[in-house]
Amino acid sequence: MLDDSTGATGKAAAESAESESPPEVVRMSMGGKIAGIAVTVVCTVLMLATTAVGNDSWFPFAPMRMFATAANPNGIVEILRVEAVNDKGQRMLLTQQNSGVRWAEVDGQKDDMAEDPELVKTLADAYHHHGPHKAPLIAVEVLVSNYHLKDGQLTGECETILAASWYAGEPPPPTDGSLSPTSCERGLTSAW
Amino acid sequence: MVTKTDTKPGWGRRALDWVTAPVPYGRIAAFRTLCYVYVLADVTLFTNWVYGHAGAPGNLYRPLYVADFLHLPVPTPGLVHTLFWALVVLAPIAATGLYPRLLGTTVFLLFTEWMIIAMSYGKVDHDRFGFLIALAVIPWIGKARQGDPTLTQTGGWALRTTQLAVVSTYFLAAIAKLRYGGLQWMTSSTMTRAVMRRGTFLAVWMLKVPGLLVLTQIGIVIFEMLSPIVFMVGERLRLWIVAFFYSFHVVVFLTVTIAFVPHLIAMASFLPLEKPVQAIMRARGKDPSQIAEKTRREKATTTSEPVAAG
Repeated sequence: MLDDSTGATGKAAAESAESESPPEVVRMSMGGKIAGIAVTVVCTVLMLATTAVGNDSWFPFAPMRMFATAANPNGIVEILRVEAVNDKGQRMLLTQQNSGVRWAEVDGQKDDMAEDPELVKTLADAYHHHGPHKAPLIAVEVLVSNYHLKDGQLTGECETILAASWYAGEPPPPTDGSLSPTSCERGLTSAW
Repeated sequence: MVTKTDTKPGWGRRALDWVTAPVPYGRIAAFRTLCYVYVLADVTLFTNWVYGHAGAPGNLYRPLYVADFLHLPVPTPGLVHTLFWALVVLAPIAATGLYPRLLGTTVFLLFTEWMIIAMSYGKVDHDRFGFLIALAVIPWIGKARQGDPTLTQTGGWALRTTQLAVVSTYFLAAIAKLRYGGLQWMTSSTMTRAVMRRGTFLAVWMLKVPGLLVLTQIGIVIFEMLSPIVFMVGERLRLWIVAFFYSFHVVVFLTVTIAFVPHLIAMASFLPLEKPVQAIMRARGKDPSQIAEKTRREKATTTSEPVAAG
């Protein structure tokens, strides 16, 4: 089905339908080739270097270390969560949705947070920035559930550690673990 | 693609031909549209938590080397909002193919800064190296029309570089496991931990089967180490291998809810994206060779440089 093109175009269409002539090639200039190859080589070298000696700070040329650390099959699996209490006494989970801070970021900074409660308070500030109309927080707790493994299988043993915390005043009553499906109390059997 | 000549070319020549193996402009146009549409989806959906970093106080900020080196500013709400709106406006325009070099370079720089802000709060993601490389190389090609069968070496170089970045994501991930976890990574409880932390109902049963997750770990390292094979096989087998890569990510998403979406977009650099576009064009009565005519006419009025950008 041809459009209302000129005869010449129609002829070209007929030719292309039956011809075997390969499409034309637009070639790179020599300068373009040199620049292009140089870019490819530099990126390759950077990626090899970062894999050998680099770290995450080299982003975007960071080593591809997703799940690269080996978890001890006879050790402890730590599962972190952040709980907070507002000035009405309501306890909640702090999530990426309500605070804008990613779980993995808290996990990455929890040791610093343990040393400095003011860093934990920044999670409360982020929550407040995310929802200024919500009741302010008076407590933030970074809780870690330690699940024990033996030969790669869960033993059933689990304890909860308070890894870092910040309190505006008196600490509220401790958590009963019901908010998070990964808490020791709920024990990984709840619906995901 | 090796160019067959009477005398066998040296390995340097063959490597150069392989890196710049021409692809149709139509493939570039389709890939480019896909990438810029994804930029829009990424900042509005997948990484909209970067907005939260705007509110996160500065003392959670852990600058990357590149941020220090380039003296990039500490992220403020103003900066994040500006980046967001600039990308939301410019990326769709870039997806149409207008001003490919100008808009492409701008979107690349803005999105890279967005990514730098994303990764400066204690967690660096590793699913977007291939995509950032794609955004960096696409602007070099200049104008490319949808469905155009005319071949371009610059486009071939751009896709090949993207493919290398995509495959290195797999291959170097295996090396990183050996570096950070050692050989015992394969028999470790890393996948057990991942399933415990974020497994779905499709994965949690695996915790009860001894050795199953260890088997998956061995399988993962084998497939990652072998991934460069995709460059050594013919077109048909290559597409099957790429299909396998895609299905691996579908399974990972369904079991531990981890999505490597920008990586999947960059991986489309292996696919003949111009073919569905050309099929739609033919169904609507438009012949792709007419587009080649237009490109040939334009090239006739320029130098031997690739077709100039708008």
